[in-house]
Amino acid sequence: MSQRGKYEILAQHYSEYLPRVLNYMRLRTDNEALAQDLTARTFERALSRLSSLRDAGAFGGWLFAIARTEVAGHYRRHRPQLPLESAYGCPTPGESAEGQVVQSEELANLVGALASLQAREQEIIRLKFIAGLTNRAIGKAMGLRAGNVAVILHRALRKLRTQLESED
Amino acid sequence: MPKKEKTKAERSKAQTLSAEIDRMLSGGPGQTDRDPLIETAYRLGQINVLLPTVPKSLEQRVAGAIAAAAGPQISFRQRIQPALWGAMAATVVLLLLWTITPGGRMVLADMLSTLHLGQTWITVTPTSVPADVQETPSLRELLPNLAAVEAQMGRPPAVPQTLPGGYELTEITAVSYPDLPALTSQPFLYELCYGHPEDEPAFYLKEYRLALSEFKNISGIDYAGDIVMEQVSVSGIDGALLTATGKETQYILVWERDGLLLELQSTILSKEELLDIAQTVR
Repeated sequence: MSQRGKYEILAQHYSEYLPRVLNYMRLRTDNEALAQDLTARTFERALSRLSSLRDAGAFGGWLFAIARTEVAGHYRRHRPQLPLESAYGCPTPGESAEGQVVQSEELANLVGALASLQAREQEIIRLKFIAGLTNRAIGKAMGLRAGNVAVILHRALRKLRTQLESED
Repeated sequence: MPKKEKTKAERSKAQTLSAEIDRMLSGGPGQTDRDPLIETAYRLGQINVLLPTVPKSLEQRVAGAIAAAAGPQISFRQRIQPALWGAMAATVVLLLLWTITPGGRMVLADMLSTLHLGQTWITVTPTSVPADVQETPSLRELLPNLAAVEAQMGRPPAVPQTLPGGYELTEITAVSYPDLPALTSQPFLYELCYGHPEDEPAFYLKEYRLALSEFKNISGIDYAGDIVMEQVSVSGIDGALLTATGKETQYILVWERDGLLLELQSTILSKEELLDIAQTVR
C-alpha cells in the first residue's frame, strides 16, 4: 500500500476514532487537558508512523497501540516512582476517578466500578468498549491470545455486574 | 466437572459472549436469549456516549495535522467541448499533482499558461498535450433553493445582485465527487443556473469552497481546449477571463471572493455581459 493510500485510511477513519482515543485517554488520566493533549499527540505520532500500518483492517489496533504507548510514556516521564503496572490503573476506588469529565451518575457508576478491576481487566474493558477493538486486536496489543482476552473479559464483566448491581 | 472441562466450557462461553458483544457494539441485531452479562456490556458501551464530545479545538488540531502532513493538491480540470452547453457534458477529470513526475512537471510548465488568483491558479492546457488525468464519477443533487445551499455550505452562496434580460435562477445543483480524497469537503461545488425558465440556460455560476479550517479544498482549475486566457479585474479583484473557441464561443470568468472560487460560464452572453454580472456577485 502506498504512503498516499495510508494517508487516505487515516483521513477516512480519524473522525470515527478521534472520540474513542479521547475517551480512552480520559479514562486513563484524571485530567481533561492532558487527555486532549495525549489524544492529539497520538494522531501526530500516527502520522509519523504510517509506514507501520499494514492495511485498513488493522487501523484500530494500530492506532490504539500508539495511544497506549503515548499514555505509558507520559506516566513514565511524570510519575517515575510508580511501577509501570500502576500507571495502567485508575485512581483508587472511592475517589472521583474522572475529575472533570464525569457528566452523569451512570458514568460515575461505570467508571467507579471499572476502577475496582485489576489493571489488565480494566485495559481490556477500555480497548473493547471505548476503542471498539476485536479480541484479536486487543490480544495483539497486550501480548495475549484472543481466547485469553475473551476469558478475561468474561470474568471482568461478571465482577462489574456484581459491582454495579450493588450500587444500583 | 474436571478442571480441563471447566476451562473449556468457560472459554466457549466467553467466546460466545465476546461475539455477542462485538455484534452489539457494531449495531447488529441481538440474540433472543442473551447472556445476562450483555446488559452490563451494554452499559459499558454507553461510556462513549456519556462522555463529552470532542472539543472543536482538538478536532481542528488533529485535522490540521493530518491535512498538513498529507498535503493534497487537487487540480480540477475541465475539458471544454465546443457544443451546445457541451460544458455540461464536458468530461470532468481530476489531476493529482503529486502523480506527475518532476520531468513531467517541467514539460507541462513549458506548455501551460497559468494565472494565479490569490489562493488558486488557473491554467490552460492545449488539447495537444497528453493529460495525466483520470476521470472521476460525480453525483449531482438538485437543491430546492438558496437556503438549502446555505444549509449545506454553512454560509450563504454568492449570487449576482442584478440580472440582465429578465433572467432568473432556474436550477441549483450540488455536485460531489465521491472518489476525491477523504479530506475534501463535499459537495465539491454548487452550480447555479440562470436564464429564462422555458429556454436553455443563459449562464452558470459555479462556486467552489476554497478552504475549510486548515485544508485547502481546491488548488485551481486546469482548462483543456482551444482557449485564450486574459487577466481581468472583477470589482478590483484579479480574475481570469477565458475564451474557448470551436463550434460555439464560450466565455468563462474565474475569480476568488470571500473564501469562494467563482466561475461564470456562458455560450450566450458576451464577455462584457459576463463581466458586468460578475461585478454584482456578492
